[in-house]
Amino acid sequence: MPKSKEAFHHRGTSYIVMGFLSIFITQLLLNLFIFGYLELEQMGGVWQSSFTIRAFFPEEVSPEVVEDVKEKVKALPLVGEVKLVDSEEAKSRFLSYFNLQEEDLGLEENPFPPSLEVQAQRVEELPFLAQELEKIEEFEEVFYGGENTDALLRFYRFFLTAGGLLLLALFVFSLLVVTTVIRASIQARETEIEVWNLMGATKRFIRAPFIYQGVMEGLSGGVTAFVVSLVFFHFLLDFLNTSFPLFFWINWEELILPLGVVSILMSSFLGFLGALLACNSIEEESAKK
Amino acid sequence: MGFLEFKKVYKVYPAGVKALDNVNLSIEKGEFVFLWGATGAGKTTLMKLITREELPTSGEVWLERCKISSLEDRYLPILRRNLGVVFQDLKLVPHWTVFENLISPLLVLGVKKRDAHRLAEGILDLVHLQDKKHHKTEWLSGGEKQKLCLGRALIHRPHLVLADEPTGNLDGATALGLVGTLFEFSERSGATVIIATHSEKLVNRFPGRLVVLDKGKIIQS
Repeated sequence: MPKSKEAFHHRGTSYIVMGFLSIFITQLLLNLFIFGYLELEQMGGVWQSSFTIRAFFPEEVSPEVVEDVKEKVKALPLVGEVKLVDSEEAKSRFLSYFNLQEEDLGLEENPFPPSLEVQAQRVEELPFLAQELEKIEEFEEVFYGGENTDALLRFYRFFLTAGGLLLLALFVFSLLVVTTVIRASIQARETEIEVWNLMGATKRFIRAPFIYQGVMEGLSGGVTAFVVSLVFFHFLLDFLNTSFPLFFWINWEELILPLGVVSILMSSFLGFLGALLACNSIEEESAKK
Repeated sequence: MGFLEFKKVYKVYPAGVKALDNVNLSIEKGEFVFLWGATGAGKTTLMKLITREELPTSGEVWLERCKISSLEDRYLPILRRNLGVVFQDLKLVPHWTVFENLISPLLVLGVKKRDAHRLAEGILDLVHLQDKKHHKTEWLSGGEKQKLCLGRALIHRPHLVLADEPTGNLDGATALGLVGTLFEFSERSGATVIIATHSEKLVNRFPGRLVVLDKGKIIQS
């Protein structure tokens, strides 16, 4: 005996294909966006030093003040990691960088001021964090990156904003398609729905097969997009690694989990929401009649 | 109060057509009732007030001490699950098989698979459609569709069966057989059966109460 979800047989193939395709394409583009985001994160990790803010104390600052300020900075909301570079470490870094000996400097006193190396929780928040640090009076100078870092951050922000907006638009479009498809599917089954109503079926019983249809369409679109994306990125990364071996490419294996989780959750949610909206709109229309 | 009660029921359709005019009727549990009248007398409207496909313009309809004329929409499934209805226009899904149409009330009630099959086999025997079990409903003849509709109305053993012109397109013998099945069901199960018909032959062949409707008024009950 069929269960509630099988209560409406012979659903139109064309409707199902349309719903499947819209979710598949949306999910495919979402996967591309995720790839781009993870790749940027990877680059951000490699260029971590460019994304570190250096805040210098004056030379004569006392160790107590340095410790106090360090704790104060740690407590700021945007801060990720804070490292204290004291005068000795600063001098030793300088000597190492220029491959010099201490005698080569010929200095009686250490002229290198202590500083804090501060990393933001998220790369794109770096300029805001730098502004916060500049407000602290105990620092003599605060700086980070440079033109390249700024350019990279601008691109990062552009990518997040444009990608986010594009995805939002795609999500809404896909939701509209799924809703329309399920609506058409419901309208094509008016006879069955009328019969079920007269047999005493509850609203939930009648809705269930359409919600099931939406979730299954979403899920199948998402899983297919996941598989296609993995195959595509496998060949793409293979090509990129061969052609630009010095660049920092993400590992293909690292894509499997995020793409898998997002594909399954997002697409089934999209299908579910579309079906729910379709059922609600049809019910509202019938109530008005 | 009777099993089914109509109290001062009026029904006027939006176009101004008066379908029921001050109907007062009481039907007891287990009664076998013919609702007789010409086309347009208000028989179908009366049936639709019981299934709550229509609401009265004024008056009250009571079923088993429940005022169904003011029942909230969310309780309609409970009312309808306890009815067995042979609709005038059958309300069968043409692309479903005979079996699928037949078990639809059981599906709504959540009856177990094994029980549903057993009940369906019994009903298929009763309405002589055993050999058509897996046929699409659209392939059936008019008479077979009527039988299927009857089977669907009885499969969940309702306390109240409504049959609106169940013999409309049937030949005499088949019509008698079909009403005979309803009569037998009422006798065996104690269910109340109301048959709306305009056929005098049927009314005269079976013992039962006769309610006559004319232009929306009950002129004999």
